[in-house]
Amino acid sequence: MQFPRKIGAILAITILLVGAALWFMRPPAPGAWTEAEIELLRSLWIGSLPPVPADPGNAVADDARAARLGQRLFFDTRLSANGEVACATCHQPERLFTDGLDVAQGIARGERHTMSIVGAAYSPWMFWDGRKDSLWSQALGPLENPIEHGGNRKQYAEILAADEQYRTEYEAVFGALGGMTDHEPAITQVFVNMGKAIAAYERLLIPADSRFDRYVQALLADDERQFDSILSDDEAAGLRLFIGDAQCINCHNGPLFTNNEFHNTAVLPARGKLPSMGRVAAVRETRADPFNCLGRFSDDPDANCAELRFARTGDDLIGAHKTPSLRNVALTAPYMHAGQMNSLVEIIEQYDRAPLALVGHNEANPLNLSRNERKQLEAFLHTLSSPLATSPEWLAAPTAVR
Amino acid sequence: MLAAVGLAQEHGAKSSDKEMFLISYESGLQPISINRIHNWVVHVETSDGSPVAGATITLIGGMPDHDHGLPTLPLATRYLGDGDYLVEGMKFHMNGWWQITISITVAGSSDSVTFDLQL
Repeated sequence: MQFPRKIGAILAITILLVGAALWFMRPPAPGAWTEAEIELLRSLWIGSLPPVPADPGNAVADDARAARLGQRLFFDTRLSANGEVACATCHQPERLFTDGLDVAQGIARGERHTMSIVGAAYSPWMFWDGRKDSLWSQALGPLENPIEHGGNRKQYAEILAADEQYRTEYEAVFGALGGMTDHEPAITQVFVNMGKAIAAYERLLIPADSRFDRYVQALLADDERQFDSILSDDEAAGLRLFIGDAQCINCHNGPLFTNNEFHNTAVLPARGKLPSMGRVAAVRETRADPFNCLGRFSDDPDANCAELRFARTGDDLIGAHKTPSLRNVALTAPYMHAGQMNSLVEIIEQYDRAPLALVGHNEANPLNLSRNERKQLEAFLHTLSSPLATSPEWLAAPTAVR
Repeated sequence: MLAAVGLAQEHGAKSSDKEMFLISYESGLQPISINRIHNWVVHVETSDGSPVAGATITLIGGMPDHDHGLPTLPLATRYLGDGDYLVEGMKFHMNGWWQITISITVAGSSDSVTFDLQL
C-alpha cells in the first residue's frame, strides 16, 4: 500500500509544480502593464506630442497667410515643366500625403518612395537620406529636380508675378514682388519664399489620435473597462511585442513612432537597382547646400543649427535610411525607401530574420518570433490608423486656384 | 520630448584608464532623454584634484548591442575654466545601453574613460 501512496504524493507534487510553473510562465493578461511599460506607452501616445517645434530659419513658419499661400502652391500643377505635377501629385491628401506607388512619379519615374509629410515638421532631417535640414529647404528640392516638377525658379517666379492672386498673397506675407524676373538674386529669394510658404502649410499636417492612442489614454486614466475593449487581445499582445521582444520601439520611438534618424536594416535594393548608400552620402550634400540652416537664406543668422553643425557620417551609416513614422502605416503601402515591400507581413518577416546587409551592416538582430507573434504584431500596426488632426479646409486644393 | 525610461546614469567622477585624470560630466538636459540635441560639460582634473586646462577633448559613443554610434558627432567647442569643457551636439536616438568614451590629451599624453548610460 506504501508504493501507490508514494506515487500519489509524487504525482500530486508534480502536478502542483507544473501548475505553478505554468502559472508563473503564463503570458501576462493583455491589459496588464508594468510601470515601465506604461511609461513606454505614454512616450508613444499622441498626447505626448509637443507643439510643432519652432523653425527660426523660417520667419513665416507660423503665419496663417503664408500657410494659405503655401497650400495654393502645394496643389498647383503649373509649378512644373509640363503643367501636370504639383507637390500634391505625390503627396495626396486622400492617401495621407503619400501616393500608393513604389517610387514617385513626377515628370519621370523617380528613385525613391514618396514619404508622408504628416508630422514631418518634427524632423530635423528631410528625405530618406536626410539631405535637407528644414521643411522649407526640402520643398525647394523637388521643384527643380528634372524628374520631379522639372521646372526652374525663374519660371516659378514669373508665374507668381503674373498671377494676381499669387502676387497679392505673396506681397501680403513677404513684401513687394517687384518686376524681378531677370534678376537672379531676386528670383532665388522668391523661390526661397515659396519654400517657406509651403513649409508653413506642411506644418499644419499633424496626425489625430488612433485606436492605439485611445487605448493608452484609457490606460493612463485607469479606465480598465474601457481600455480592455479598445484593443483586441491580439492587438494588445502585438503592442507588447512592439515595445518588448520585437524591439520595434528602438527606432520607432516617440509619439510619431520615429526617431527621425538613420538605420541600416538590410532592406534589399529595388529590383535591378544598386544598393542606396543612404545617409553616409548625404551629410556632405547638406553642408554644401545654400539653403541649409547656416546659409544666408535662413531668417535667423544666429541660429544654433546644432543638428547640422554636429551631423555625423561614418561606416555605420552606409546604407542607412530614415526611420519612417508608423502612424497610418497600414494605410500607406508600399514601404521602404524604394517601395520594395508591399505588405506589413513582408516587413515583419524582414525584421524577424534580420538578414545580412548587401552594403554596410544590418543593425537589427534576428527576433525568432512565432507565426502567431508575427500576426499579433501586424494586428497592432493596424491600430495606428487615424485621420489627420488638421482642419479639412487644408486637405484639398484651395477653391480659388486657377 | 520623452522621459527616459529606467534612467540609470553613471556620471560621477571616474578615474581614466591609466589613472591620469578624474573625469565627470554634467548633461545640460536633465534627465537625459532621447531625440533631443543638447550640451554636456565635461570636467577634467588630475588625480589629486587640480583642474586641467588646455586639454584636447574628444567624445565618441554608441550602443554595443546594436553596433552603431551616436547619431551626431559631438565636439568640445569651448573651455569654460576650472577644468570644465563645453561639449556640444550630444544626442541619443534610442533607449537602451549606451557607452560614451571621453579621451583627454594634455601635452602629448592621452588617457580615456568610458561611461555607461542606461536610457
